[in-house]
Amino acid sequence: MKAMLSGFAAMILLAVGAWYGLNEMGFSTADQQTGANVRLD
Amino acid sequence: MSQRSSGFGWFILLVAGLAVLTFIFRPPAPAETGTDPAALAEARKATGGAQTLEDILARQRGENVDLSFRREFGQPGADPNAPLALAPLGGASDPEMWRALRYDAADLNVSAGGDVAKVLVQDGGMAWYEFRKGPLATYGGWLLVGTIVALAFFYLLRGRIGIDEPMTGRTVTRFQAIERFAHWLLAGSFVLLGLSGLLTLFGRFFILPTFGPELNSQLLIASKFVHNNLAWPFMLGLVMVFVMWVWHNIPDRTDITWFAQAGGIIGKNHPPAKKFNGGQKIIFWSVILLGASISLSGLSLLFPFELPLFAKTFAIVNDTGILQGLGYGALPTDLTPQEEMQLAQLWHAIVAFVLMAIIIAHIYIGSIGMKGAFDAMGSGEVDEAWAHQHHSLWLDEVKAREAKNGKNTPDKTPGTGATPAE
Repeated sequence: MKAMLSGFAAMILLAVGAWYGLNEMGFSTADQQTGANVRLD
Repeated sequence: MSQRSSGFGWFILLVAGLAVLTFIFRPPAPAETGTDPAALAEARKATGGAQTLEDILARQRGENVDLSFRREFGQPGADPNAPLALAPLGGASDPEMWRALRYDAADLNVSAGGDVAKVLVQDGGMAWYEFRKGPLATYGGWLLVGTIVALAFFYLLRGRIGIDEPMTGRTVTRFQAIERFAHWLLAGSFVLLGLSGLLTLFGRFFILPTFGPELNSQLLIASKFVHNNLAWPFMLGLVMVFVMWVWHNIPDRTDITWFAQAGGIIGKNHPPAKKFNGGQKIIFWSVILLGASISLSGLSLLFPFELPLFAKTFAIVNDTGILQGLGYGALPTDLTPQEEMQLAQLWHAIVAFVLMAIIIAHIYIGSIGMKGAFDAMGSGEVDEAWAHQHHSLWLDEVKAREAKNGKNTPDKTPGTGATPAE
């Protein structure tokens, strides 16, 4: 069962890593699909 | 040799029977009661080619009216002497401009947004929405429900597939740790992707009216996060599984025997199989091919407008001439960026529904449907009796390899150490 739990743990790590990494690299929807003059923040 | 079948053949027969019944009792096609196109065209002569009240009423009745005349009407080459033509402003009138905007034919310049922003009127969104909430949700939902019901019936009819021979107490390693890791990486992400995808599609129909918009909204936000980010472990797991198992899933002559006996339904003997039997190979290639297709369309959706897939694909399909040969028209190859996204979403969901149905059956047979099957992916160790019943050729290979390596078959209980078997 260690392999199964390791697979699930890797799944979570990869997902969080992808979320953080892609946002840091400017791939968020806000960065990609809008300009500064239409953002409220 | 075992005298009982795996039951997979019975299951295939049951599913095929349900598919035939579904086809026989399919809803009747709507009657062709549209207004005669020739009559509509004749009426347009009175307006110089512009649409008439009959055109509008026919569309409002939901009839399929050919609208190509609206693109052609008022073209520069049109007959200027046609009755009631555009007269003073000719082809440069306001209607001409609005028509060009309406049909995405205007020569536009935009300061930002590229080709996406140049599309001012995109009526494909309505067709996408109608298809998504109509046939996609209906047939996709019933496919999953039907699969679960078929499996429940199968379980009631066949029961749990047992192990005929007495358990030996000796185990062989069916899957190494890295194989199980990749399987669960793929499986865990696919289950969560499936559930989050279903919430995204069905949340508006079932959760919103029952539990209100707040809960539905929170679930959708969570589903979007899960769906976007679990795509990566899914794709990694898919690649790992493909690399590790493709060699074992190349069709060979044992599959002919396996299918000839329908997995054991014909004859009394259990068909011999290597590491993967014919049914498992179908599962493998379904996961690889459908999973790759879902991944491609998913990437197209993850990076909007960056990876258009369909215009080129349609062009290739058109070049084959198959659809035209069957009497269908050519597929559109001039798609707006938005239409590319809409088609990617629909294709993504359609293929995902098919794969979900297949995986539900896979989960069934790998858990409650067959005794001892889960051990193969749980601990990785299976009893030799189970291995002999379901994968006799593979067990022979394992034993031959052990003998060649100078090892006796050890008496080994699960979890007490691995015997290099594969």
